[in-house]
Amino acid sequence: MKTIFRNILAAGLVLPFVACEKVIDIDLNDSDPLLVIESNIHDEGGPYQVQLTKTVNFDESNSFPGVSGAVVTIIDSDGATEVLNEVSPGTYEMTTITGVPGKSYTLTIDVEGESYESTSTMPLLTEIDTVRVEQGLFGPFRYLTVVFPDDPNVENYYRVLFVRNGEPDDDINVVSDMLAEGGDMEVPLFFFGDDSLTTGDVVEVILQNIDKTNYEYLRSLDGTINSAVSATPANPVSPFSPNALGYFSAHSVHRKTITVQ
Amino acid sequence: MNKFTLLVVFTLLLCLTTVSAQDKYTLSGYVRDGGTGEELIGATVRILDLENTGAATNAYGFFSITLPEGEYRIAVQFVGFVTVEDTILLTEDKRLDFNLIDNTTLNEVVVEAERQDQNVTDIQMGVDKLDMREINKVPVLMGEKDVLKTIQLRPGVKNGGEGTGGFFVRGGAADQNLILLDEATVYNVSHLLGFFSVFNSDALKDVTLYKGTQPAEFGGRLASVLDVRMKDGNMKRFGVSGGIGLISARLNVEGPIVKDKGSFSIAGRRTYADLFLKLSREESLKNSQLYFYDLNLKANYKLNERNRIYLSGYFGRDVLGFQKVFGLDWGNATGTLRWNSLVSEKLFSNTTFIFSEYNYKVSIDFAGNNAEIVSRIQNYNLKQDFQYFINSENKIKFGINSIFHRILPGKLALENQPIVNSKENNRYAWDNAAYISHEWKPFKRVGFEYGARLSTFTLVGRGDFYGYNAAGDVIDTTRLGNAEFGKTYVNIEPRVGVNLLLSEKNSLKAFYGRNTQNLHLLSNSTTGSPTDLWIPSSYNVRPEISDQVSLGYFRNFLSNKLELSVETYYKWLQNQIDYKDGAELDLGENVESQLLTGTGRAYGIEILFRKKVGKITGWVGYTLSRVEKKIEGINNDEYYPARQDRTHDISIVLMYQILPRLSVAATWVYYTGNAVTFPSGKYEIQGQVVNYYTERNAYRMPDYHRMDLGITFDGKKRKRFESSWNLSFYNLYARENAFTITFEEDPNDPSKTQAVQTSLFKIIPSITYNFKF
Repeated sequence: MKTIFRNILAAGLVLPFVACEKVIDIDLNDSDPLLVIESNIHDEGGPYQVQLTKTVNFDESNSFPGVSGAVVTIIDSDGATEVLNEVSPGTYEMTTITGVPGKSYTLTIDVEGESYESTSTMPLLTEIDTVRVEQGLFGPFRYLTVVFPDDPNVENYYRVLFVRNGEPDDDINVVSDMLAEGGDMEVPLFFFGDDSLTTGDVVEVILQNIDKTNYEYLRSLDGTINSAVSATPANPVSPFSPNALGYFSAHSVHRKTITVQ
Repeated sequence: MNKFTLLVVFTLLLCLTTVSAQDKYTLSGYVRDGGTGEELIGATVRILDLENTGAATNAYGFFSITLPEGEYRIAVQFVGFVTVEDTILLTEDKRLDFNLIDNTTLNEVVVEAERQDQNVTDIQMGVDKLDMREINKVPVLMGEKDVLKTIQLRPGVKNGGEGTGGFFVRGGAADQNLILLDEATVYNVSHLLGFFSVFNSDALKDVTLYKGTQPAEFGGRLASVLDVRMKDGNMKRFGVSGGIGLISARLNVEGPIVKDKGSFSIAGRRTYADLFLKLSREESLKNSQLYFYDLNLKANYKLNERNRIYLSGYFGRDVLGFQKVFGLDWGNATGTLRWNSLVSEKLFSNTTFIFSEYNYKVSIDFAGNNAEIVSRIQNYNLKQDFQYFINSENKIKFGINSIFHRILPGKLALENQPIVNSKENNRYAWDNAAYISHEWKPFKRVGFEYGARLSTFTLVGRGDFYGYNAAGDVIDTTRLGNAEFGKTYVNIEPRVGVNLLLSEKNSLKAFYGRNTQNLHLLSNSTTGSPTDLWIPSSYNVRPEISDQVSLGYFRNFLSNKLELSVETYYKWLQNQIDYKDGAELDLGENVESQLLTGTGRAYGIEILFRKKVGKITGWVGYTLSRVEKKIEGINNDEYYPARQDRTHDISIVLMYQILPRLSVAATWVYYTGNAVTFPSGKYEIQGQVVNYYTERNAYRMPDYHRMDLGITFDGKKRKRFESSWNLSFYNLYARENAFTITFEEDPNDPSKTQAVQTSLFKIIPSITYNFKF
């Protein structure tokens, strides 16, 4: 929310002075490549994958090398274990483990003499009640409100994504139920400017129930990505021990598709 | 520490006994501006027959000096005023007030009053007293003359960067400055996010900055005290002055309530850029608001020769609104009620009750659902100060101070959803202090000022205070009931200054002092924001402590026309606050879980070369400095530069009176870019390229430099009407200084990432018309 204020502030105050932008050369230090882990388990069926890559220096191109030869193991809270196969360089696949809400999963990665571990618990499924199209006061722009119930007895964390006309949106939109305990959750999704919502748009809204660790991770990842005005940009909170970049998330998913009238 | 108190008491007794041993009498009184009746702060009364003997007027224009019976030649001086010389016969206690004549009113050509050598002879070091006339000439953005922008041109004081109102003193952060307006704390000095300050120069009389070397009567912040005093108002006649500039208009009305007994001053300022928005055809701009205003009010009345009452207040507000959808407004309000009393010729008493508040309000309207966030910080402050002028060698200041703080970090209210309305989680604290300091000149060429301040800070209920584990989860709760006392911190802050006068022309000064701070500002943006959060010391956050040693050499040349000062300092800092990696500073009550504390160190050297009289005046200041923090959990527990760390800082200010009615002023600043965190690598997550950071604040913004030029043309002086035109150019050679640097995908080659620099201002000309009658 603070970012929104700041952006509006910046727009309101800086623009009248005609800010000017230019591309500059900055000599950035080289960094030792660090392991990046990305893995999801959900209740929509496998196969689930674990991607291992590494960081590159800032001035290099955006191709991130896969890390091969790791021993990747997953254990669920019932004791089922699987050692993953590397299907392509840096990509490891689960075949027997299934995602079930309520279960916990522990991912272990042994690579280059280090062992990384993270545990994630898949929250119970919450279903979307309705998706409303609403008229905003920001000019002619319409927006969506996603409504779903919240269990007041449990701390809940959600991520809301959407795919519009087949194009997935990459915003990280996480909320906790701090503001709505006992009531319904209402999460707005905004569409500004050229992206404004038009009649006939088909929007698939995806609600993920995530655990607290991944809520913290995604929230801080959002901070890292949108850190232009932050004084202390930093890497997101690592869910791994010892620290590695990336995340391991077990989440339950519910989808609802609407057509904008 | 008891030894220290004993020493103070002992010296006090010693002085008292010496006093009673001889026939001595006291000469006391006020020094005033003869034209307006305003008391002059820091004017000197020198006894010409005695080497290095004299007194300076205090913040209320009062002086007192006790001398053996006899006849003395005295000289009363103040910068910009004609020196008054007089011979007095001191055979009894004598009250004598002096009215000095402003030298510009005498003659159109500047008469050079004899320069004071206070720079060399004062015990105080690390002090900067601004000449209000200089402020009017130094060119600034949009022609809005500004004390805060001018003080940033002095060595040891660094500006917070373009578009920030904050400033940094000797490595201290912006919140480590105690900014006082008629003794009331001003929590946020920024207008329009910092492009302008809340101080309307028209309403001000005196501005003094102590760079952490303040005497014991000040406390509560680590790095500096900026003591700003408002004008009392003309005692003799009514006067109106004002100005019209590109973005704002100012008006000041002052005059006697009862001639020579009481006066008032009202000064107002408002920007009117928003009035142009109304003319816009664009509907969204038409309904937007963007303005600020300031109102300074002051009145005083002399009950009799010994007692005087002052009442002053400040109200300022910024209003920002985008249609009816989004609104943000913020501002300060202060009030000071003060009673000056001369208990005797030697004992000056000042009793003050002060109220101060800063608040902001954010309102958002989503389709009829109003959300509002309100935050405020307030204090109620009762002060009793005494100044005891024992004799010409001894002066004692002592007093007590009690402040009650009330902080509302943020209250969120959603209309139509009463359940969501968060409670008023006010924080309360009680701040008490007692101090004593002794100015002592045991020898003609040696002076001491030493003292101590005892301060306590107590958290007061009601409230829940949480304890956290390393992961930031709440592990325990301390619940305080209504008015129940919680955690208390006690600190003793000793301060000692010495001046060794090597000759009439040069001196060596040394200082040691400890300062503590119990209110901390959390700001996670590089530019500072009205919504930054003040938090008190608590169970998790301990008082910040600074110990500073400072050594300086002061020399005047060419019969005091040129002055040179070289000061060095080293500060040891404790309980410094910084944010965890990925910290989220929101309104939540768990904001303390996002903080880490550790130690710090700051050191540097400041050189000031200055010419105060003549057709060409100005100064050259240079600072070489460093400030670093060492906090467990940040930067692999190694020292890292604080955000405000800057290696080199140069400012040059030149003012040239070309013709009697035409003057030109130019400033040039250069400084090393602030310490910032840039990525050292990148990686991909969820299909997005994300920056990878390795070290905190390991990079620098590009070097900053800028030149400003101001031309002042005075209109023909008529009987009672004066006017002037001021033309100024901000950023004369249109340097593109970096405001922010962001890293984004190269639009021409998505496989690459590029650095984009945003700069705010190229050359900005402005014109201001000022008048006075």
